[in-house]
Amino acid sequence: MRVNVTLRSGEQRTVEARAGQSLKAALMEGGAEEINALTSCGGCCSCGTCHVYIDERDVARMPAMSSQEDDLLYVRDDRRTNSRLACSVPLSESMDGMRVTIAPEW
Amino acid sequence: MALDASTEHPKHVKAEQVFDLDIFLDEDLLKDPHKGYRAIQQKAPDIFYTCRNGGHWVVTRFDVMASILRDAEHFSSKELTIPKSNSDNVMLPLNLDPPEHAGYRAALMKHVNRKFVDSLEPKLRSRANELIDEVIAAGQCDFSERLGAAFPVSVFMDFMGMPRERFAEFREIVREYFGPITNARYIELQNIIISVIREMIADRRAQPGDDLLSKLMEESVRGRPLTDAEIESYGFLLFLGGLDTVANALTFAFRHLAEDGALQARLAADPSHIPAFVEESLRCFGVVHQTRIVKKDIEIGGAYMREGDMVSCALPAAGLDDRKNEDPERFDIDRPRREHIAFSTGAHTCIGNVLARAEMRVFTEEWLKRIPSFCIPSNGKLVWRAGQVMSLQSLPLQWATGGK
Repeated sequence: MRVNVTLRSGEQRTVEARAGQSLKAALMEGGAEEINALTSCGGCCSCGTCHVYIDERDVARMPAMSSQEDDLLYVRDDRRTNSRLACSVPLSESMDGMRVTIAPEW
Repeated sequence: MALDASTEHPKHVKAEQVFDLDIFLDEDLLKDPHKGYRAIQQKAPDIFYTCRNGGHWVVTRFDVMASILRDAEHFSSKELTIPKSNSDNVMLPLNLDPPEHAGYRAALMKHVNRKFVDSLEPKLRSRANELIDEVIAAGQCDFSERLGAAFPVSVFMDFMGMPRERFAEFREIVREYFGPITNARYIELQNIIISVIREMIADRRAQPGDDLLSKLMEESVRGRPLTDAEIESYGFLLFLGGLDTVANALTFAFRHLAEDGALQARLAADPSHIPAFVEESLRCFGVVHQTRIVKKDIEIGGAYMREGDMVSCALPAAGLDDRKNEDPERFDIDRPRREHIAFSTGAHTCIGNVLARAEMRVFTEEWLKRIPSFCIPSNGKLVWRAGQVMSLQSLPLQWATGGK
């Protein structure tokens, strides 16, 4: 499966991904390393740094958000209705071709 | 503390997993705790059990620590002290486990974020210079308290709205707290800290300011305003987190820098390398160890950990792990890859890490502008503290006077 990502620079890339990976892991493996902040908690839904915006056309096919992720997004003043933390989005085949934009550094 | 090494180890621990270590009083650790932990990492099992201090596991390898610290199903933060404190005093959000933890963490993180730290930078710079002003003419000082502690601690005290004249009193409390003391004294000091915070909360209720406690009074978790008891509990954590840890990290960094004239010259000539210097220093000279209590039996790397066992993750050893960083004992600001978990990893990754990094960078920049060359005098004696929050309690420095 593939994920289309827009980096902070505006550059667009398509990365190969596997079902079962987190969106964050897929982006890092695909070379979009800016998703992994120096201050990251290591992908445990505890720091709010791997913030992404899901393309509106793909929001409906995203897995549900946990209360923990919702709690953490509270710290982001750039949160939108399509905000997610990439560490907390497990990928599945049904999400193939999804489009995502990495939120500004925070 | 139980200091009897001959205590028999529990039955679920294999004999070959036992390695005798007193994390507070081991002689090698007290000579140089980073060298000491690196040596232990090489000669002891990756996961070992020591019967000292009530008996506990110690983990010295990066990957094992990371897996423990990211596994809240088996490892809890309800008890964070070795030996077990059995204290009723709770630190928010540090003592909570996910998922309950996240809301409390977010309420605090909202006020200690990058934007806040960026806005603080001019103040950091002027505070660093005020403190350098106090010592520069003398051509020498004991860095540990005069600068290493005074700089981040006074910044923190301002941020918390604490009166600076209580600096020495508060420092004495945390220094004693992190040293080898009895459990009764440990709890007593916790209660002293909490009563200080309680008084401050009462003051802020009467007269709110722009300090962190006042901000927490306006804060809520899942829509419910924080109670005074909860704010007190955050304050307890902040007191311990704010009054010692960065101080030690900065002093460790300056111990290294004092012994490396070429690095001083390079950083003074090109301060753009200072962030890499800070990261490399955090990798080589970590401060804090992270403790967990096993909440569900687990086997990890051949070690059977039982519910109720205490586990100390030696974070300062993680950056020195040769499986993670090539030639780990070499201090090299040009490393293409650098891995450390000095601020831990997982749910309890240090919230203050952005502030700590900024403080270390700004202080180093300002110092080198004014004292570009300095050293440890030949008769200088370094005094270390081991344990769970390690420190260098005395770092004598000297430099040529006539500087700016």
